[in-house]
Amino acid sequence: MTNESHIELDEMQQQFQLLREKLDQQEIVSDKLVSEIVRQKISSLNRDARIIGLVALLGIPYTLFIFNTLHISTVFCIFTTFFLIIACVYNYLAHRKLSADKVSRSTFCEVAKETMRVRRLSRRWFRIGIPLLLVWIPWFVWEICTQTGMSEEYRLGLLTGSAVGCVIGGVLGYLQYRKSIRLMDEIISHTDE
Amino acid sequence: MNITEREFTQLVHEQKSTIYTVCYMFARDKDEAADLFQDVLINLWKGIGKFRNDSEISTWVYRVSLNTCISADRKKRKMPTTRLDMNIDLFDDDDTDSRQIQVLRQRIQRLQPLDRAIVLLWLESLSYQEIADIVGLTPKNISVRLTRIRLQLKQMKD
Repeated sequence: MTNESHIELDEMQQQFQLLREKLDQQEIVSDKLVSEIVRQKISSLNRDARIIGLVALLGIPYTLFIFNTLHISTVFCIFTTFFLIIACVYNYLAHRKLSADKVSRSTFCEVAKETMRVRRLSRRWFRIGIPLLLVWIPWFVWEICTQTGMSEEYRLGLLTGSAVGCVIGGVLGYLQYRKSIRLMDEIISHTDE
Repeated sequence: MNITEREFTQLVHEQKSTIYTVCYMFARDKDEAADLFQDVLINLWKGIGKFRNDSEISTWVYRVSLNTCISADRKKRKMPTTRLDMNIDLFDDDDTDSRQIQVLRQRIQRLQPLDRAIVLLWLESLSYQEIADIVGLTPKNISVRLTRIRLQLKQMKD
């Protein structure tokens, strides 16, 4: 190692020492803030998880109720229910291993690899979900178009509303997915070496 | 380890520099550093019950901090639910010491996350074995990586 390297390393050590001294002199966070984080945030996270689970559970019978009101075929209802359940289960299994327990007990490389696994599974779901959607959407349109006893205005309104919702949801969902994957790939791509 | 909220608060105060150092080196801005700090505290609280004193508490805190930063969900950064007002701002301070610290941060931030973690632990004067235990590589790997990182840092233009 050359003298120049030593100087640069010494410089970094000095800068790091400055950082630690500066941080040691600062309060950074108050006792009150730590308590707030521990009590409110943890409760909030647990509550959010329960709400999401409940919404997912209620969403399926609600969807079936709406489809029943519209006299949608039983086969389509079963297919939709199956699709939603698979999506929920897949999401749960993909994220299950990246828990707070893992964060506190694993090495940096293990967590990085687990994060990569979650991202790979997210990409895989994208490749599964899109073809399923490409089946579901035309099928839904066909179901609506073949409904008897529905006025044309109502039918058109239903189809228009569904189309707008699909487009907006699809675009936003795709953009969010791409951003999430890209950001995490940037972070962990070299960790996999 | 059973711990009361008061004891946890005490732990946070003792380790605040360690936690904030890691968050500072992995964050792009002040808000992100605050969000990461909050996430680390949550993971420390969730994991403290399983800490078995099989390592130094500071080593464990480093492990949780690094792992939290690497697995942070950056989607949440766009819509924070709780704004954490912290009594520190190393990103915008303009005194001589802060500028030196920002130079260090800029150099370290140009490294990949794994190398960033290794450099931070090395600057903390941890042994190769301790670094290896936290990161999940062998001490020999750490040694080889550090040599490469030193060359990389040397070639960086400030």
